[in-house]
Amino acid sequence: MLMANLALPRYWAVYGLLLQVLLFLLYQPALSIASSLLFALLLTFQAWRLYQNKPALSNRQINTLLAPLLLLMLLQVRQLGVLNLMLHILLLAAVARSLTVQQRGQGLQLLWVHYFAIACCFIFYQQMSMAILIFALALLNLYLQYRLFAPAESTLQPKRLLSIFALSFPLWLGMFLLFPRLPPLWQLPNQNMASTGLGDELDPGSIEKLVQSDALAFRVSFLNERPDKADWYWRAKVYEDFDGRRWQVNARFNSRQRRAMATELPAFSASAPLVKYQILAESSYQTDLFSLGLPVSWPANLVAKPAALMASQTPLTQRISYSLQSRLQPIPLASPAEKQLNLLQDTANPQARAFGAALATQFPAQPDKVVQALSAYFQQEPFFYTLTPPRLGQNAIDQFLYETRSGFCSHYASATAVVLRAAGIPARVVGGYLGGNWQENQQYLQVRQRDAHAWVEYLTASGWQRYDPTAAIAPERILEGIEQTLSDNERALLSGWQDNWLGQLALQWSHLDYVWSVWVLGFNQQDQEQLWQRLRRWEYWSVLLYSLGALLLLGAAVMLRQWVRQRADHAHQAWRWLTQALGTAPAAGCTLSSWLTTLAEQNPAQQQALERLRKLYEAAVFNDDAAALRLLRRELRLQRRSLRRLARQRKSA
Amino acid sequence: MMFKASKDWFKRKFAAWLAKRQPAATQVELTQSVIYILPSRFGWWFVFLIALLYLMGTNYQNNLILLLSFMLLSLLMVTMLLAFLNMHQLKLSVKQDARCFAPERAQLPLGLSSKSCQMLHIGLRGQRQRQLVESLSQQQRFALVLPTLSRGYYPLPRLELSSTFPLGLFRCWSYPALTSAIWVYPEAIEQLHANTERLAEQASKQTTPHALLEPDDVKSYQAGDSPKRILWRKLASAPEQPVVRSYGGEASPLPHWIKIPALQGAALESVLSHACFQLLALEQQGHSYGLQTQSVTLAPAKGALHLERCLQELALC
Repeated sequence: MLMANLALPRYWAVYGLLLQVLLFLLYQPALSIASSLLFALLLTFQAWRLYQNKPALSNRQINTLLAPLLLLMLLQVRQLGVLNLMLHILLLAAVARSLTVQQRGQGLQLLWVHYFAIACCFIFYQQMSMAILIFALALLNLYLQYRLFAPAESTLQPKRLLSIFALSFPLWLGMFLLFPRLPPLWQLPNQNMASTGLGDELDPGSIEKLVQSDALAFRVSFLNERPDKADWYWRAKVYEDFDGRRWQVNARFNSRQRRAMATELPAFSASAPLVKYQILAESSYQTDLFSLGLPVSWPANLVAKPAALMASQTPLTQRISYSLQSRLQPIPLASPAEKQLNLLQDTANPQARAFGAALATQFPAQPDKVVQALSAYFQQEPFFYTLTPPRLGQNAIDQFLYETRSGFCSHYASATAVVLRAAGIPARVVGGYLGGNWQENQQYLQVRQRDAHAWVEYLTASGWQRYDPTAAIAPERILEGIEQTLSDNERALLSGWQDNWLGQLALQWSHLDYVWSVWVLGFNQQDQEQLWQRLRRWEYWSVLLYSLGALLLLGAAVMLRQWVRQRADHAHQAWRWLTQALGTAPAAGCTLSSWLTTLAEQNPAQQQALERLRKLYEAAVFNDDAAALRLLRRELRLQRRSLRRLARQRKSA
Repeated sequence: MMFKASKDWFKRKFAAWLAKRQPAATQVELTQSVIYILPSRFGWWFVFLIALLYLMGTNYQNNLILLLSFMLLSLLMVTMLLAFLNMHQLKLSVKQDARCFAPERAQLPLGLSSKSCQMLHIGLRGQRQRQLVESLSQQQRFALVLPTLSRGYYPLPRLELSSTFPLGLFRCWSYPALTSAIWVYPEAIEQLHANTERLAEQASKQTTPHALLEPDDVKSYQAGDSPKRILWRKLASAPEQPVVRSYGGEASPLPHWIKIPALQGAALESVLSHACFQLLALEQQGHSYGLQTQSVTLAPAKGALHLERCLQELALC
């Protein structure tokens, strides 16, 4: 093609470089330090080349440069992971190609790779601000594409752009809302990142660390009545194995049998209050999700784990939104094995276990009484709730119960579970989040890592009862949230900057981000089906369709009329009528007018009528006079008989 | 073999279909029924990209990637419309034939007009060579350079107008046919034999300039005579036989006859080249001349029109 050989202007390459620098910055989470340096070097070289106006590299030069770099990257595959390696190669392809581009035809591959690389940014970033930036990059790439195919001196016309936008935006939106969505077809490599949130192990100090983070954990909007604040215990993990110091998640949560178990719905009592809610969970690189009480209905893409926990099938690499329905009731016992598992004791902490045994003899087979006694114990003895507890040694529980007596929720929860097990009551520690910030204007609950919490579940005849020992020591933790519970000094430990105007701005932005997450990121197959159903149920469809049909018919009629008119313009029509009425047509080379004149001369009887016809014909055809055409038609109708007679005479002659 | 035969068959059928659909005319407007549009190669790559992004968005369950793929898809659709509108209502007109002497390339003057058309490629259908009109607004004259042809007469083949504006995703094209022809006259080469010498001799005799001569005689009109010399008063009485003033000096020269013998191949070409040179020389010197070929005899006359007729006859030999 001729156009493909046109030279590219310099500013094209400069814009391309800008785009690549931004891509390079966006790709930072995927790049190792060595490759970061390498790309920086390549981009600097390109900038220098453009500044100095040096010619582009030849294909051969770039290949000799690329081969070792590619090898270098392939050697890092272990360290990088497949996804990161792919991103490396993509970026390398883009940067290397831009070093060789000189003519318009060569820019196409570069643009294609750019589009793909830009789309890959969304694997890391889904926040609204980043999404806007990435879409802006896509538009810049689109502009570069336009430049490849447009005349060199043409400029973008705002009016034209607006009309293009007006055309494409409804299409875009419509496709996003209505284009069929599929479940994941196959597993793609994902980002290897450290997981955030509660871990699979619960150390005496692990929650304190988590609480110092201001990061968002998840957001909830309630679809029916909001439950009482005291019930906002978001369960995420259940710890059942205890080694004397540290609690761990039992292996049964990670076993492959959980799918089989998930199919049976738990027995729930219909009298317990039902909560319907939607959760928008931030990416945690874990599979565990959050739920209230006993979930009774969940979307198909989630997995129900033992102990009524919810999980996703793959680690959360991006925000997901899911809707649940829960009964606020004790969780039923799954099997006798579960009971046995939660009675296991360790040899450590003799004092705590003796305390439990004493409680058991005091209240035999009365778990609720034992728990009450324990609560009373915590309240009567000088126990403190603090974010900075002293370090504990070997018999951590004994030390906490009888020496330091100050700790955070995990200390109280694990001590309680140990004492209850010693008293012969099956008990386990539950990790999750408590409460959250209710956003009144936006009507959603914001739960941050700061709200991480641990509590206990113990088994009674009706199931696993929730017991939160922290409530005995620091009831305001449950009612007000963590900030109110801590002293001023400790509060300073929480990275808090919510009070100034910047904090307010950040909060507003986070609300906007929430709307974005719910409507854009959270829009899934389920929502789409609902949308389709709602569209189908719309009662005015028939009206719309009928009126559309009527409009179409009307349009077709108008077009048909126009077509008929065009087909039969005056000359044609007049010709057809006259020749039909007279039974013959004039000989070739003879005009209709002169033919009529000769006819009039030959037939003196009809001379006047024929002369009149001729005049009307001439007016209709040569003067384009519609009135004359109508008159001609009337005249022909009036003279029908005499003309037919004339035709017969001519035939017989 | 089979493949080639069927390909030829399809080509013929397609040409016949085109001829029926778009007969040649002096003015052609590109309307919806004669504009064809399909994705370009890059367009197909773009479709592939969209499919890839859709798959990636689905597998990562990432709405933003899906959003980007739908954005590109909606752009693809809008681009289809824009690419069509770019070519729509483009008018092409031709007023005269293309003429040239043998080794040169003929140029066909075309009139183009459009509301706004960018990056239009113009060429002949089936030929590689294309010319680019970057931006066309309102009316514009355009000289279409035709490929090198050997001596002869060629009807103008179908043109091919195409454009990939605005994003290169779609190629929009049309095959308009214009009623025009290409005349390639023989190359004018002077060849030194007896003929030429005689001609030079004759030319040297006529040194007296016309302006000095008085009109002293009348003769009958010959094609190519200046209308200024026509005796208008006599024309009224005998309109079929115009009479012109004759000057003594030029009454004598006999009309030159250029004869093309029955030859073939290279010999014929060389004779034609020489004849062409002679015709041009005679016309330049103001002589009247006649041409006799194997099939046609053109009576002696002069003037640009006569020259053209003679040259056309040479081209047809």
